[in-house]
Amino acid sequence: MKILVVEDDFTSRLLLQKLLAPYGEVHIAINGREALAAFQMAQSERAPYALICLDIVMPDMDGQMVLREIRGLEEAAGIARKDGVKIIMTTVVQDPLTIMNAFTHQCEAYLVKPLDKGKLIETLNRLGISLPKGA
Amino acid sequence: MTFNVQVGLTPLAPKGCSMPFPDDTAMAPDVDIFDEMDLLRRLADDRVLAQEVLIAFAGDVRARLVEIETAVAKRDLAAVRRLAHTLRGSASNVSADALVAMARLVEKSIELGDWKYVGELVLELKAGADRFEAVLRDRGWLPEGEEGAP
Repeated sequence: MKILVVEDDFTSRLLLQKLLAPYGEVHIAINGREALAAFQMAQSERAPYALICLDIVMPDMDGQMVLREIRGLEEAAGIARKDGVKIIMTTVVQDPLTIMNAFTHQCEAYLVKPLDKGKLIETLNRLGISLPKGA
Repeated sequence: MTFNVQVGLTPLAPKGCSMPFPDDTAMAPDVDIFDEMDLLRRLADDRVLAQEVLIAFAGDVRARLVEIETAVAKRDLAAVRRLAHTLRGSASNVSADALVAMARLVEKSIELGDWKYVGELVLELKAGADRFEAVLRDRGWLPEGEEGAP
């Protein structure tokens, strides 16, 4: 399984990378533009990401915009919603409007920092993502 | 170890600030500089991972503070807001509660446009980062001479 962590903060990136490593191959994007480029490259190589952990407040292009773009690209490519990449927002932002916007634009889950291993695993399980056999 | 943000660092209301100060900047008087138990609980007692992220944070935080200082010097409100927000997320991940509170105060204060006060807060943030690192060393999380590497 391919996973993309989109984070502009080094500590958060490292933590997510370590927590998600047992689940598959973890790639990193440090801003929204890199994230979109990685997403599109994976799609063109027919090796799409199964999961994206997406920060919201980032320079240039924020996570909400990246989320909208990805869903737009999937729709344009004829990818059914149920077959699209699972997206978990990982952020400090917890105001109701931002959370509502993220779900309106079809994120699957919203985790508020600080990151918690138990909550992350619980969320992954809920999304049907489990550890590969032997991990 | 607790850290009294209100008394030990900067008074919540900026001196000479005539603008109303947002009520939600009020915080509990005692905030841990490092809530070790919280970090270990969130990482399911994985001490190796905890140390890894602490070393990473300690090695990265000064560069982030320099970025904030530069943004303050340029009076770049959007950049200060974003950088303080990012620092808050980063500090929360390592349970650096006093730094989280101070970064939040910067985020709130910037909205009032009191650049002098924000500048003072950034100095307090730097002192808080030094204190955090000292606590990590005291507790053996950051070996003497160890340099965190981003």
